[in-house]
Amino acid sequence: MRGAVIGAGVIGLSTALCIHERYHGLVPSLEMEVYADRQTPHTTSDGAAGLWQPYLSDHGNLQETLWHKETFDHLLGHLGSPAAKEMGLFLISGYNLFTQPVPDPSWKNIVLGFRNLTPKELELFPGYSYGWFNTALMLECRSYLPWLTERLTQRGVKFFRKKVESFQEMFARGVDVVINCTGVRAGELQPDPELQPGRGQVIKVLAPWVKHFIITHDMEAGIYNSPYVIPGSEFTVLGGIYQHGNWNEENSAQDHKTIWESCCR
Amino acid sequence: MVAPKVAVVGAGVIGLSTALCIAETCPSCSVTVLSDQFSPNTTSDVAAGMLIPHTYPDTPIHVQKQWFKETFTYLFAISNSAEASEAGIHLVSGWQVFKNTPKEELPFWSDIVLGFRPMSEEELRKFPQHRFGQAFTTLKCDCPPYLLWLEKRLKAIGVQMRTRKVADLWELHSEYDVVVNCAGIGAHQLVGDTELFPVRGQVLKVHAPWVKNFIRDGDGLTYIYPGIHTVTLGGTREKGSWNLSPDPGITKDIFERCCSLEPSLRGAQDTKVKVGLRPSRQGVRLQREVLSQGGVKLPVVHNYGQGAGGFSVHMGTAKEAACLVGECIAALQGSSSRAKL
Repeated sequence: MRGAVIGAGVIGLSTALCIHERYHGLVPSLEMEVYADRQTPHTTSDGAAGLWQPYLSDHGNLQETLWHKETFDHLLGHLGSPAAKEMGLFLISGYNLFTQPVPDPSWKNIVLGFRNLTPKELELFPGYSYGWFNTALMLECRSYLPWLTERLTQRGVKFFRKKVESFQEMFARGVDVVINCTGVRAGELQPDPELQPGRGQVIKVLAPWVKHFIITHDMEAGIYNSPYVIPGSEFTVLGGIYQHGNWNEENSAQDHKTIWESCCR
Repeated sequence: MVAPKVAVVGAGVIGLSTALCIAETCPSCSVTVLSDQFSPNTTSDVAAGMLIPHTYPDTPIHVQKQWFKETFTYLFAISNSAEASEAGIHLVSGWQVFKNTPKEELPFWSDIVLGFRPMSEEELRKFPQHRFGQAFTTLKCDCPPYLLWLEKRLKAIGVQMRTRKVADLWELHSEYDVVVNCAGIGAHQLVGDTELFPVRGQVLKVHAPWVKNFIRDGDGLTYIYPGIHTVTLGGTREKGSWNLSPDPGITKDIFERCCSLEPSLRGAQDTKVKVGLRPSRQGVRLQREVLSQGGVKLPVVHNYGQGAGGFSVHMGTAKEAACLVGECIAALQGSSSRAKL
């Protein structure tokens, strides 16, 4: 029985691992393979800072909230294990900032210690009059993806660096089940007008004195189009660009300027 | 008196901040810092510099609270400015956990730090041996950066810094009009204060940049304080020990205690071991004294004995010491004008 995961970002690799963990015992002949034209450190996942924080609202989609909780709890369980450092997993506290009061997010009880900001804390952030403090998790893909790859390789999962042009191509190779984790380029395998790129640009700096994440929200500009600062284990990621429909993978000098100036403020 | 000459003995956090306050409140004063040690070789350099106060049994609580509040406010402003990284001041959040519920649920400083509240059950799950906890955000002064930044500010306003071992405060009477004693643990020998005793602290400074939150056991013995480049793991409280040599058995014990609070520390690298002698006293000695020999007088202001709480109260005690220096100078000027009559 051959299963092929297409895509080696965080979704592809974690899916491959879950499948192998769950079915390998039940289906002894199970052979899993991972196909991807890009592997770490060149996947979309590698660009992310790695902060666990869903969008502000699940729009009533309870299934999503359950997925969030499962993920957070799973990672929390790994925190005390020796693997945590290798996985790039650690706790981090920080601030979400708003210019007006907003309803609590669907994930308020998933993260640790969720509370509103006090007036004294808001003094740190002129221009913002409301906010949250909570402790969440960081999962740095430059460590997590190699760790997942290592776990998969140990289980005998084979990796193929190859661009898959069609699902048919997989079946022609004798694959029985295809798991499509192709992320932003899924439209190339099967058109999906609902799938759009949300282009992000970041600046990575050395600022090890910053110990908290800071995520600002501009309800008009839209999610992640407002500055954010996310300290990693080595670099601090500065961002605040979210351009719907923009496929350009080159750095934009204008975006760089925007990020730098708004984050320094 | 045209330009009163003030000597500050001691170049740790107390000496340097006191010198700064004196120079700022008395621009006509000529201030000199005298010390046999400067950063990175002071007791302050060993400390993590966390703003979590120590309670002094013999100092009124409202005074301690005032000192802490002044220090916190002063550092908070720096942490929120572009100078923060040079000064080594940064905010850090974390947890203080207790195996047994503490006698007082709310420490006197709970409304000065940020966001103080009891830990939730989910948060406590990370600490299975502890039953109660407090979460808050406070400030950390990394040393040497903070001391070096203070030295830079002092030099910029004309304060001199001299390496000199002062054996007796009286030896300064001919060169200086007022002497300020910020000698820390050195005051034991310098002024023979038998109420001052060392509380030995050994710490490990490790490279573990994924640790972003502080964790402190409420008993004050075990703590993990993330700084800019290193994480300080502690510690010990050995009353009466003058031993400045690191003890390998203690190193191992500190490491184990910290790993049981934060298992990921097992992956920490580049461990450096340091020892400091906290200049401890039942109450901070912050008072004037006049030394006199053969009709010659030397006003002295003592500012030492902050023990485990030096960083937490340094600005508050420095300001008060500067006021006392002002009183000494006024008294000298008063008596010198009387002499003219």
